[in-house]
Amino acid sequence: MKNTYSLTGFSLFFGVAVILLAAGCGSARRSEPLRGPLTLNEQLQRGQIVFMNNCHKCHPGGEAGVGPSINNVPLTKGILKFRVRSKAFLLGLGRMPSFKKHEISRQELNDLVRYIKVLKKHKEDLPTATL
Amino acid sequence: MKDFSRTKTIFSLIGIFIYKGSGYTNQTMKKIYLLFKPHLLVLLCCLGLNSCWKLRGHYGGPKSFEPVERLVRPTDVALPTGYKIEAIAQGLTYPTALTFDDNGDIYVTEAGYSYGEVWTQPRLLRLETGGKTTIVATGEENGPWSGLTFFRDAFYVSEGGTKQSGRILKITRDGEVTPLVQNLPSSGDHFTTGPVISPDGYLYFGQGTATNSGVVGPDNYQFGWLKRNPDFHDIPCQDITLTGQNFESDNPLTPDTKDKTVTGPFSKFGTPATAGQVIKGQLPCSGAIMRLPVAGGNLELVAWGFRNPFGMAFGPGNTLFVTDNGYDTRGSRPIYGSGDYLWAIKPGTWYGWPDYSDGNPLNTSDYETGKQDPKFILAKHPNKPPKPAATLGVHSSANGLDFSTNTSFGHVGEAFIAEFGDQAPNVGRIYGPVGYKVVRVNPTNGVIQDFAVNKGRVNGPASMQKHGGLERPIAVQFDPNGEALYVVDFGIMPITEEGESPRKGTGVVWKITREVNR
Ligand code: HEC
Repeated sequence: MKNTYSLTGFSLFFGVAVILLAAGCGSARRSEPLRGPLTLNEQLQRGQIVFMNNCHKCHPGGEAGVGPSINNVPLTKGILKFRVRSKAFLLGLGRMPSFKKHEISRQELNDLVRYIKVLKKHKEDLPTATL
Repeated sequence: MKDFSRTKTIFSLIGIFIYKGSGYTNQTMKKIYLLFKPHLLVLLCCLGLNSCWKLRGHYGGPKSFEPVERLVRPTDVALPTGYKIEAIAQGLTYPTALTFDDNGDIYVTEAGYSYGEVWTQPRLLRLETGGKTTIVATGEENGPWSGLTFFRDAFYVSEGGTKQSGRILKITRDGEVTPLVQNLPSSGDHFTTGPVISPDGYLYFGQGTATNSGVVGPDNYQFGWLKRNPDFHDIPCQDITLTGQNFESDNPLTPDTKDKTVTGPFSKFGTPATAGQVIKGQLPCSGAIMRLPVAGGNLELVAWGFRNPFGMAFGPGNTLFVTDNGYDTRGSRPIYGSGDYLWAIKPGTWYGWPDYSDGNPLNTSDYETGKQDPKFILAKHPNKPPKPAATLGVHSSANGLDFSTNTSFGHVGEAFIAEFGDQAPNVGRIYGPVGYKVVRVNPTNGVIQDFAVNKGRVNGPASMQKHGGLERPIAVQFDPNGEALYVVDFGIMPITEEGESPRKGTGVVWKITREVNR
């Protein structure tokens, strides 16, 4: 039992470290003038529209703005979904709004998360739609 | 292992942030803390460097309007493949708008006023080849001249009206200036804007609001105008009924620093409102698009409920599109997280200011700040506000706007928008610079893409990147046949502890063309 705690603790701090270090280092810039056009299939196009309607204003193109950059942070699908649905963050001090099912449906959330993942991996000359 | 590290990491991560019910004993937490204490400092530094714009010197330097050397190097601007940018004029003081006459000659306005409270002479200039300029007309100390268009042998300029009041000016080719519209309520935070002229001969213009969100407060004193115009406030376009909410604030108009006062919405500073109070609608009014026949005639209301309807252009289907700067997190009624908007204008509609943003009501936790939870200040709303065509970055200051009409330039039907860039921290806190670029927007689905941005690890103005790219794009204008996009760049304006610090002689006009045709 005790062992599990410290292991969990380790992954906890390791996770935080990875996220914060990554956030401190890599560039979050992914836009067309810098990385070339991003080819999107139908699902990703839907996800892009969900992003534009709900996230872009605070994370413009996934870069920092009123919210932090999200393109250069290794976030799993699960964390991404959690961030969108729940407001609890930093002991509830977080500023990001939560989005309920009537605002972003389950289907839209799947499309959105896919889009964010593809955007994050967008590098020049990479056939991104296949990622 | 996979199981463990993935699911557990996620949940433990969430755990530390929620903390409650995480199940860790104090001792375990302490052990973990001690084990990772040395790393914590590094982590905090990283977090600070990454997230705190202030650390990067955004709040730096003393306030000054004196000219500074501005490096102009087109290769520092990134564009999509096939496009080219060049600087065609430099050394302008607070340029704001650009137009063409029927010979295809280029004209530019210099504002004559900037945030930071500096007055220079407003000027209409013709750009000559080789970057020289010729003065066509000059204005009074009543800037900013914020917009410019040309129609049937005359120029039309929107004059911000900081010293007297807002006006629309008609200027002949030989520089004779006559006001077409006067006494516009333009002595507040936001000015008279536009103008554009419709094919059927109406001149459309915008009038920004006096305040951030309806209530005059110490932020307006900081801007400067409350000192000059202590009686000024917002004017509704139609009769409105107030809920009676009042706002207590410091009273900077009296020498006593502890002095407080109470102010109601749509009322002069220090005048409280009452529940059920009706404020009479008037024309001209604040936060509105108005029009009149360009040959002169009666003023008409087109639409209202905007905050700072800065840029306007006729887009696909001859619909009027307008950019609108959303609420700031400042003043007696601060609002968090309100974007800038691109609206498709339906005449007769109210667009939501001061109770909605984005078509969404402000009285939810999404917009609340530590200071106050925004509540409705209007007891009734004229209509349910529409949804914007696009929602641009919070504090990006989405200003000038024009539509591509030529396949040889590309992106026909998309709106190109100049983003002036944030005025943080005075407008609210941010994790990184917002704006300072030109974006293109598909008005049918709201998708926004960067078009001209500075190179660099993070987004930001050239002066921050220490290179020769874009500073503060304020207007975009296609040439008459739609082959080149001109970008008016206001110049260097850092935000200092004492407010905006706009530097004279740092304005630039850029020209973007497409090199290869598909
Ligand atoms: C009103 C502004 C706002 C909007 C809209 C917004 N966010 Fe955020 N976001 C923030 C802020 C601020 C933070 C920092 C944490 C906090 O204060 O909650 C954040 C944090 C995040 C994080 C965590 C980043 C990290 O480093 O751990 C993710 C992921 C994220 N947002 C994704 C999204 C997505 C996806 C959307 C759209 C559905 C969205 N955000 C909409 C403001 C916003």
